[in-house]
Amino acid sequence: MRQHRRGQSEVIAAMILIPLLIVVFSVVSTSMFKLNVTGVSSLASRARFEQERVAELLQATKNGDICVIRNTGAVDIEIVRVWVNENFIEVKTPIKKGESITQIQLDSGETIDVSSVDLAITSRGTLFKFKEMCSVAYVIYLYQYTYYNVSGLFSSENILNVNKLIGDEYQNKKIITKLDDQPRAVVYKYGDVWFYNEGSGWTAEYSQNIQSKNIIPDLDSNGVNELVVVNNKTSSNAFEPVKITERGTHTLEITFVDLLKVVGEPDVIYIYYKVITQPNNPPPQQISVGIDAILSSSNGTTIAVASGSSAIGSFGKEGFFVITGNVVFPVKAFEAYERAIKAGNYSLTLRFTIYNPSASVSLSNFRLEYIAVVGADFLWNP
Amino acid sequence: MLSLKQSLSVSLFLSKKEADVKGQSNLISALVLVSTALVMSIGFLGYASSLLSVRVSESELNNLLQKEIANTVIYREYIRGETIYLGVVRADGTETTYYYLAINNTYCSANGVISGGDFPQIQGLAVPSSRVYIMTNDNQYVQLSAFTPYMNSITTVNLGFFHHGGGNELLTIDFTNAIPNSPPASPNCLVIILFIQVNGNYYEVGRYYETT
Repeated sequence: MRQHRRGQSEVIAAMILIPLLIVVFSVVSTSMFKLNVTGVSSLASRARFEQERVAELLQATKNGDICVIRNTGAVDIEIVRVWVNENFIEVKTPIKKGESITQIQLDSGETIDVSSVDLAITSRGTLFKFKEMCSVAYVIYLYQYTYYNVSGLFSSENILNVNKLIGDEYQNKKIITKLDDQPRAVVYKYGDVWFYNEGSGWTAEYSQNIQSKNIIPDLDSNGVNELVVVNNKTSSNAFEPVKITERGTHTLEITFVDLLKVVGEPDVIYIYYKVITQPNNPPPQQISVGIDAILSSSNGTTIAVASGSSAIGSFGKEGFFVITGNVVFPVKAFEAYERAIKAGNYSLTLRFTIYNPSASVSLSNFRLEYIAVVGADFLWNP
Repeated sequence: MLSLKQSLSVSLFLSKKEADVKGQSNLISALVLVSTALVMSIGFLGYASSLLSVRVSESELNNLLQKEIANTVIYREYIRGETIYLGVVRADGTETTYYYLAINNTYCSANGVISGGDFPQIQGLAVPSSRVYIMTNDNQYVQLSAFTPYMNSITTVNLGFFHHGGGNELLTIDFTNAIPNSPPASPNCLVIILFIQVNGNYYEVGRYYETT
């Protein structure tokens, strides 16, 4: 009995001391943890802010004489202040991702052309020199064909339109076309005349042979003629629009030789395109068309990029298949691109990889309605 | 003579008494020990709390300053003549009041420490230099009054101040007006330091250098 009582005081003391120590330790460690978390979270929010700030990107393009500022970055942007003639004006001009502006609205109700703005400041503190950007704008703005009434291949004045496609020095504008590595050609109707190009420049084609093919110059009837891929004029079925009938994978390449000029160090190069083709049966057909763009420089550098998710295929009501989309060369984002794409002249190849699921399905009338490029200039003069 | 029975009962009575006394002393010892342990624990807790409170208070100030440093983005927006326009952005969009000090330095130190120069006469708030804390290049806050170039030479500084609405605002500083009478011999570095006020003290949260 006496021996039993001996350990009790130690046990009681331990029972009191241990919880006390636990409480003290918990309080201290919880407080320290909270302090650390607060410190880290403020740094994290600044890091997030800086990431957004770096992602702000506005690019100037020219649409005729009008300068267009487009948000090509990954975040929405708000212009909060502009500097014009050494004076600043507070403004509030949001430009969401992909949107563009040509003017800045002032509180007074007046507007200023972006080309008159020396400096535009975003809410995150990024500076854009609009006037300077507009004056050296080498980028080409994607057209809105409904605004124009041009009976050419490309309806905007500032993309590879009919004037640039044929225009001056048309004999030197070479388009090399290949179907499954076999040479083919393209034709295009300019005015009343068909022009033919099999890789050694344009030639006017007045022969009865091409007339007899009854090629429709504007398949989707939108007022814009298309570049039509045909068989060579020396082949047995000369000028016949190419037709893919065999089951399996086929590759069609159209190369515009020395079409583009990269100036300076663009952040990104976009190639926009619209392709039209015609399956022999209405949908559903499991035809797949993959599109790559390839830039090849005169010094032998070649870089290819596949279309992003923006490539959209849709069947028109007349039964033809339309693919619009863009290919992006993120020059500044990846070292490999930056090393490969330097200032200089480039040929542009559009490569279509077509999978035909069945011999009962055929694709004919391969056409290109437009190419628009942002981030590089056209070498082909109008 | 006590009989055996009597002597046995006496001895039993004595040993019971002795045992009672011993039990009491054990209880007292336990009480004393427990009380001592309690007092020590409470004392330790108090000490720990006191240390913790100091530490928490320092850390809270540090955290607040860290947060404000992280929140404050300064960039040069424009220079027109002798006037510099600085953009000040609050990363989290909250409002605050900034105090600022513009210094026309003889040179910009490579390690980021203010290396000497004259304080321009900014219209603003006159505060004792002992209440103004600037950051050294090893991220320690030092009272301006104790900072080597200015030690014992400057007792009061004029801080400009402006209320920041939380977005991207412009801070305009005219250096011509700022130093009308005492330009340094060869000023080639303008330094603008932003402060926030905490408990009557002014802590640096941002700095901008402009080489002229």
